[in-house]
Amino acid sequence: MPRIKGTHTAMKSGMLAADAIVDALAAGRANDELTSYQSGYENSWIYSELRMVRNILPLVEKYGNFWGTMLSGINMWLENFGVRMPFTMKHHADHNALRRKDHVHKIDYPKPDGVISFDRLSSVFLSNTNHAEDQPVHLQVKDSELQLSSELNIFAGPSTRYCPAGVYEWIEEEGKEPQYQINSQNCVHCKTCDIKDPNQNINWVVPEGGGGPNYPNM
Amino acid sequence: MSERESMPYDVVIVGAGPAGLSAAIRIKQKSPDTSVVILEKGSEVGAHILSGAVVDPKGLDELIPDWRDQGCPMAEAPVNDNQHWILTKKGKYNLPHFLTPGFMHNKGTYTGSLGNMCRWLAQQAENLGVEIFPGFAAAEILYNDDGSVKGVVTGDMGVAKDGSHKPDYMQGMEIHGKYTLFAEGVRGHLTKQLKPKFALDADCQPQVYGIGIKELWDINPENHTTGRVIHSQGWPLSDANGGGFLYHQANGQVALGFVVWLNYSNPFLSPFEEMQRWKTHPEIRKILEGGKRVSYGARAISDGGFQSVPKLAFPGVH
Repeated sequence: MPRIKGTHTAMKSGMLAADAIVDALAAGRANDELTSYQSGYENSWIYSELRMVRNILPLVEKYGNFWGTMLSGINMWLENFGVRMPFTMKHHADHNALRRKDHVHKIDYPKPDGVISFDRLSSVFLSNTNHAEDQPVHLQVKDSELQLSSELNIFAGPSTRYCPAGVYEWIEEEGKEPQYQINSQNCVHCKTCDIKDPNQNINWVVPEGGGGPNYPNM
Repeated sequence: MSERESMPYDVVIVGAGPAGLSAAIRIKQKSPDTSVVILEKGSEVGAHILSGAVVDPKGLDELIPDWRDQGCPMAEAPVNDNQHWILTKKGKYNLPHFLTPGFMHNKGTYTGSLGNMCRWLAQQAENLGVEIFPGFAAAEILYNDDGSVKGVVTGDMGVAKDGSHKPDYMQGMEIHGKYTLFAEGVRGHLTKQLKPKFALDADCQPQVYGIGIKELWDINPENHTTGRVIHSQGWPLSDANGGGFLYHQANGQVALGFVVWLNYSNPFLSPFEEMQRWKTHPEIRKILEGGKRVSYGARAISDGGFQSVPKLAFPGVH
């Protein structure tokens, strides 16, 4: 949200790490802890930039879109004029946020029109994602029993919706136990499943090198 | 099983994104004799890079001050019109500029493809002697006997689903470094192992995330204004936080997408369908109508900011 960008901070953190490494190698050091990278970060503009907007996301999370945005606005103006808030609000891990399926309303989405809006499969096609066939599945479900008893039966299979590439499907046939199907060849390496699975039961590991999306100019 | 081959370097970098490439370039600028290798799991540099992107040039300015004259593609579209829309079901309100503080204004920023910027950075790195291995994924972390990080192992190639070796089997290599930098990007699978091992997140808040879904469109030239960036909040999201973006970039293209914070609570929510629905808003549809979608992708985003930054250095690393 706050400025929605982190390329410059990513580049700066790389440069700070590089500075620490160059100094350490020049001193003949190796394989030790680069404490000057840590201190370099704390004295850099990344630190002060991030510090300034640190309460915006928690404010919106706590007070909702409207009041959260209003309070964020006030907070940003104060920080802009050099008034530092004396507190840092907390975050909560995303995988703990889901509510049981019987405690929420269902959401009906409109059908795609094929002109402006599209379905998942025709979308994934445009990511040019590709994985060598016949390789170990790189989306590891640690406990498949738990996936059925909790991911499906308590949370209504959120992976079938949060995955933007249609990797996860629950196949339900009458008289049979629902089957969790993982179309790992569709994966675009976004890592959302590793983050959002309510039981942290999906572990994203790296597939064979060269696999994954082939974005031209994204 | 035969002993793995190993290759020694001064510095091993995992990931050819903006952080890893900047580190490699900076090391070579200051110390040309230091050997640096970058492993990249994508088929080429940029293949796995997905971002809006609006870029604050502060990082480029520090790394390669004359980047604009060196053919960096990010220079093509300076941001010259910054709009913030609040969408209702049928209409929109423009959030007036004076309501937001100066540091939110995107003044002096650029919009373009972060993937192409990384391809350009990789070229600069290779010109300085950095070795880049695309198509090689860092699969495991190697440790010294004292527990410090020794380097990484690249993934084996040609392993079948059942674990047997196919005819094209190739064992992974050990890549040793005096220092190893993990620049995997959001939710790196090796960083995920390092955090508990070295208690890197013991003193910070949990990282929180969003999912960004992006499309690239060739649009009708009449609807295109290079350098215009639009952010939207409001409709259609009612069960989650997030918003849309639409950037008019070079070559008559717009990059557009939608970010949903992953702290949403309703398991029936679908970020993908929120994004598709968002495009049907009359104000967005107007821009896209007559155009053609040419690319699609998605990537998790770290949103935690200040309080979620873990400890950054640990023995042998970062």
